[in-house]
Amino acid sequence: MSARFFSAVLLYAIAFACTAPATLAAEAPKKVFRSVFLIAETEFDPAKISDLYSNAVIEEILESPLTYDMLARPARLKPQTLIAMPAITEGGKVYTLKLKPGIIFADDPAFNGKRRELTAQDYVYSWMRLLDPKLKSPNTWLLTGKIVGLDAIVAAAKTSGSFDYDAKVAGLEVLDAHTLRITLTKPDFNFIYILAMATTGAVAREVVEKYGAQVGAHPVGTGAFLLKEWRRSSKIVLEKNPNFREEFYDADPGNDPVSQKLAAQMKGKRLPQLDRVEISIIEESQPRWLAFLSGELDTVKLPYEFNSMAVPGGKIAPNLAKLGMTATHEIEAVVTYTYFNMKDPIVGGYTPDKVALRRAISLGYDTDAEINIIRNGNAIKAESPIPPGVLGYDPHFTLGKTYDPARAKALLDTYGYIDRDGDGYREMPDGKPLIFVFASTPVQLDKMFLELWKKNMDAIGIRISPLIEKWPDLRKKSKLGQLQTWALAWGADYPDGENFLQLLYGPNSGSSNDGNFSLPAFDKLYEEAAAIPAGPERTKIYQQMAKLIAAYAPWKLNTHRTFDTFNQPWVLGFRKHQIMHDTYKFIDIDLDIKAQAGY
Amino acid sequence: MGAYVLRRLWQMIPTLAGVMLLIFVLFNWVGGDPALVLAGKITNKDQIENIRKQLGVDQPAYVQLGYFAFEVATGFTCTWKSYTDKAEPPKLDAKTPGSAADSATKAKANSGCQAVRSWATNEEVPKILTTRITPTLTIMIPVLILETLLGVILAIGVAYARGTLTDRMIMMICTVAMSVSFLVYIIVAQYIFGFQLGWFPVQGWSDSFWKNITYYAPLPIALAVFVGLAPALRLYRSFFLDEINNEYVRTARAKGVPEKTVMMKHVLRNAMIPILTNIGIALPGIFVGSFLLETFFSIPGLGREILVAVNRSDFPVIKAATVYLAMVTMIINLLVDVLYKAVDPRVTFK
Repeated sequence: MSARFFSAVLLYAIAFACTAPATLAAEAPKKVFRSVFLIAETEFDPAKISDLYSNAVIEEILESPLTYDMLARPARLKPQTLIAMPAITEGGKVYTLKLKPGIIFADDPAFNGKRRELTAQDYVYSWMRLLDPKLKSPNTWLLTGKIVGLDAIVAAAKTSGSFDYDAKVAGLEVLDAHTLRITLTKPDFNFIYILAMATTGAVAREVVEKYGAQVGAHPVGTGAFLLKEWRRSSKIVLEKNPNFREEFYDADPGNDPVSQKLAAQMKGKRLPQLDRVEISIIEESQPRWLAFLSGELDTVKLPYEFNSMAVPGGKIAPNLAKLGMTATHEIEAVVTYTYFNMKDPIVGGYTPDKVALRRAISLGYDTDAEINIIRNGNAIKAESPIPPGVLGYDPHFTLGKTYDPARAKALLDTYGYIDRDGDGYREMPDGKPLIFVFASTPVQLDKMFLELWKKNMDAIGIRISPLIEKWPDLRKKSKLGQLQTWALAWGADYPDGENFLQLLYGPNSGSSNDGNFSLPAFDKLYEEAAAIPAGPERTKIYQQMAKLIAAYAPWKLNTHRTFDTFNQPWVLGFRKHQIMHDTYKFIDIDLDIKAQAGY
Repeated sequence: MGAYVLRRLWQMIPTLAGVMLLIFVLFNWVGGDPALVLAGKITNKDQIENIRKQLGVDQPAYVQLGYFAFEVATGFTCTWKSYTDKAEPPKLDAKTPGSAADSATKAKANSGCQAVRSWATNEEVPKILTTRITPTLTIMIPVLILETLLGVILAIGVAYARGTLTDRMIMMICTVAMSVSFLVYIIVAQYIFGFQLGWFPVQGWSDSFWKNITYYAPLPIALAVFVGLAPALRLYRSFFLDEINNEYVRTARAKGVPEKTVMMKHVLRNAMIPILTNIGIALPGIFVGSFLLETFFSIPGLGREILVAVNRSDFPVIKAATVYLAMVTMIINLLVDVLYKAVDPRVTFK
């Protein structure tokens, strides 16, 4: 009996071993790109998400009217579902969008087996959803106060308890199935960037109504990919959308040799080339890097802990280059800064003594040490809030010497911040204690920042008092104006300096302006800049604003982060875009190279 | 025994109420503002107010505590605020297509109620707990079994050979092993066995239990067993030594009872009571898993999920996980107490 049983098991095992690989090989898609997220996604409803990784997924599935040229630097807008760029009239107040006819949504049971074409009304519906109070959208800022008539519908929804999606919005006129006219409440030339954000991508009303509260698990769009499988916080699988229109690779590499190589690899290819994208969520650096090295991933953003091993001296390590791996070094459109709360009785205020204190603190902090010791060289020093590659960035603008403890001490002495009781630390000019409360979270990286700040402040005689709390608790205090200072980072939502300068715009206090900086001269320039289109005139205004920031020191500007992306030798066309996320649509896999490498 | 179990079950209610009150105070008064986390990068007062209203965190504390108690008791949350505003309660899931979880939701749909959902991911909290527990148990059950079996077998052997070079060497190795952080073991083992030698995958998980247990789980299991074995071995050895030094053992030996019988029947059986207590203490831990293992090996288990929820201030998930753990702990404690009776007939229930 048992001999027969074991024989049967053995036969079954042999049969499985012989047939399984063949079956798998037959079913396996040809071109599979294996990517990785550092943090788990949340869901895929554009009205509900604001995190980077969920955005990265919906960007592949849903389509906003505009997108970016894959290779152009600085980032350049181009039509996605539109025939041409929007016509902007009435001094930046009216945008007219003409959709390409024949764009079809991916198939879904919500469409009852019919092909569903994208229409202008889909955008109207999708954008109204962003403001539906019940959805608690983190993206209301994209449209609140911007479109004529939309705020009134939101106000009515708050009173009645339900949002009227059939209401006519004066500022969102559907002229015909493929034409949409947007009227803004005031001229805003930066509104065009909103039209390129993943969260303004079109969803179909039938889909939202069919899946209800679970629509975040059923994203259906007109993009190049569709969601095939989703194991939350673990694995996301996208597959080529068979309904995706005929579109061919077209990007402007400019003079950049890396981009030129990528453009040559992809030239003339129909998009997308990938059949399938598998995204794993690997939070820890070591397994992520080892998974890449062992061929389990096709690309990885190099964890900074492995910088010295993988890119010693800024060049790819010979052992990795020998394997054919490629690395591209990029500057993130991010600024890291330490804000001073302008309402704080110690560091806040606009009088010369307060400005002197903030400048002294800023001069006392060694940003180069931060870059070299803490960030392992993965950053460049920030001279203005606007990062390189963002409109308004001026490569010639410099703050001069930003670390000068001697000058910091001289400034403090001049304005009466001296040590009166001989304890080695300075007091305020009126003799009260001078305590620099530095907010920090308990994570290891922040502990390193705190140590550096303490060492630097001790050196100029300023007593630092750490306030260590979890990030959500600090955020709460920050928004309520209860922190004296806090180090933050801001990543570009769109590649225009305005997206960074709004962090210091007075009316944004308590919102994105955590430091409550409010300077009429700065606010006036901000408003002037918004009313004129991108160009030298606006750039000049941004530069004036950067000078005001340098003068009043509401921030200690820290860094613009840099990173290296590693790709396996068989990956073609991939380079991290400054604003867009993973851009799978523009990637290809060379199956021959992959086979030669033994994968 | 029935009366004893019933009484213990009854006693769980005030304990659970205490746990809930503690959680409520910790998260509602001390924790960060979830509205600020959910509001995204650029916020305004209206938006924050609206989110607070939708979440019900703008209500007085006693009302919020009432919501929480209702949610724990039923697994559902209701649109209380809408009623107070005299608006039509939304029938959120009336059109939701039918998974098993959704059917349960539909039952409550008409009363304006839906399953408690994560604030961050909108996933139903009961579903989060039920789907994440499987990977956790896939790792932790083998760990507990192997750790206990190996711990008991090795401990009885070492206790028997007490004072010999073998005993001293093993104890020394245990002390050294316990002095090294679990994180170091994970990093080193992942590098050597996963990457350099390629015996195991570096990380990963699949939907197939068989593939998980045979391909992805062995390295994390082996690591957890290896790390857990040293303290277990030392502890169990002391339990065995306590028993070996008792007079009944000397008497048995004097009576000529074979050494095997003395050790396996008398010593082992009596030492099992403190061992069982120790397992009982460790047992709730297997239901939350090891967040270090789960994070480093990308295992979509409960430990990792709780960690993510804490980072996102996802209170419904954190609260549910805490209440769940409290309940599991109480039930396991009860089971262990009942098991004492099976192991030691002298134990009586009062």
